[in-house]
Amino acid sequence: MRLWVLAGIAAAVTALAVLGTVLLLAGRDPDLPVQTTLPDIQLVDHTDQPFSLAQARGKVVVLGLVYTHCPDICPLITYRMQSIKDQLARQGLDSGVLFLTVTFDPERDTPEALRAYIAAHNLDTRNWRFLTGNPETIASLTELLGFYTERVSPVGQSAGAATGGSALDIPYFITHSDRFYLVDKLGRVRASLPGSRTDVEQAVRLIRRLTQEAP
Amino acid sequence: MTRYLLVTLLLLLASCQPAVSGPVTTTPAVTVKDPWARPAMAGPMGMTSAVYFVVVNEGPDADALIGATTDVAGRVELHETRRRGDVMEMSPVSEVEIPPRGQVTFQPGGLHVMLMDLKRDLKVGDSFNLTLRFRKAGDIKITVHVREGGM
Repeated sequence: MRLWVLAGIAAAVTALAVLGTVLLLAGRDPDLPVQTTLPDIQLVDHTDQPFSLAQARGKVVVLGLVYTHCPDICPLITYRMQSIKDQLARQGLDSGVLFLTVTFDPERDTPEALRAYIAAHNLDTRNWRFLTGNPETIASLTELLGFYTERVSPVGQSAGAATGGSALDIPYFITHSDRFYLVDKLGRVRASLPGSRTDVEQAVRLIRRLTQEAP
Repeated sequence: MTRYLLVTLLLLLASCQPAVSGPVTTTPAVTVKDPWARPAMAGPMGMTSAVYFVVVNEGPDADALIGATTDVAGRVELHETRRRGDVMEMSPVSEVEIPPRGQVTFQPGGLHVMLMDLKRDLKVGDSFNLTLRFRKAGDIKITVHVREGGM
């Protein structure tokens, strides 16, 4: 029964995300309906400190999902988030906004790996936490958001199937959704942005709207 | 005296002639423009990087990029990212055809040269050598600059 409920929520979130993405790509600002509420899950940040998503309540959150072995799309998503962060800072809005990037490859993305990623891309981590954690916990988050992930080996086979054992035995990449999310001060997902294709100016306008809402 | 002036004049004229002997230089059919790579860290975490550039083929025949090598990575592959709805999937490609009198752009979200098992950090501002192997044009060595960049 619980599985059916989760699947229903994920399907609804996906439908809203697709609709929102279509509007965003068409250059129109969408309404910001509540899509789902983030669970109060426990994660670990890039400084090895525990972090609960509940700690983000009271702030608007820009929530990204990446993995550090991704050479192509995830850096673009991170690059877009950094551009949004820079724009918000220029407009004096950054103090009310928290940036969170959660890895969907927690087996490899330890806090140390997240620090290496931050250093490689020279990211400003003021108001920005990079998070990892228990694989099941993170899988529950991606399922809730309808965020697709699938491990593939470099030769295009399923990594788990290719090894017949631990998927960490061989290098693998992850086929994944290209999105990030805007979350309101109450922890509710209100918009799904088209990841690497996000229009920075439009994202800043939507974030501004969310910051102006009463908590 | 007249003979001396004539010889001097002939020598001066000869020195102004273009060289007609030795190898004839021609413009290569395939050239590579604007190479750059994403920053990434080496080490046990094993980050990956991607290299982007534009291949221009000014010749009358098609060519193909069939591989690449560099001493900054233990493994180098040609890859392509494709969009399926909002899902991005990446897969290796064995070769990339470069059409005659055309060009192919390797860019974020599309074709790229993947660098795995990095031997050293690639930091913004660094550069490194990469050899691209073409079926007809042979090896072309390029210098790749490390920087951030979007689509």
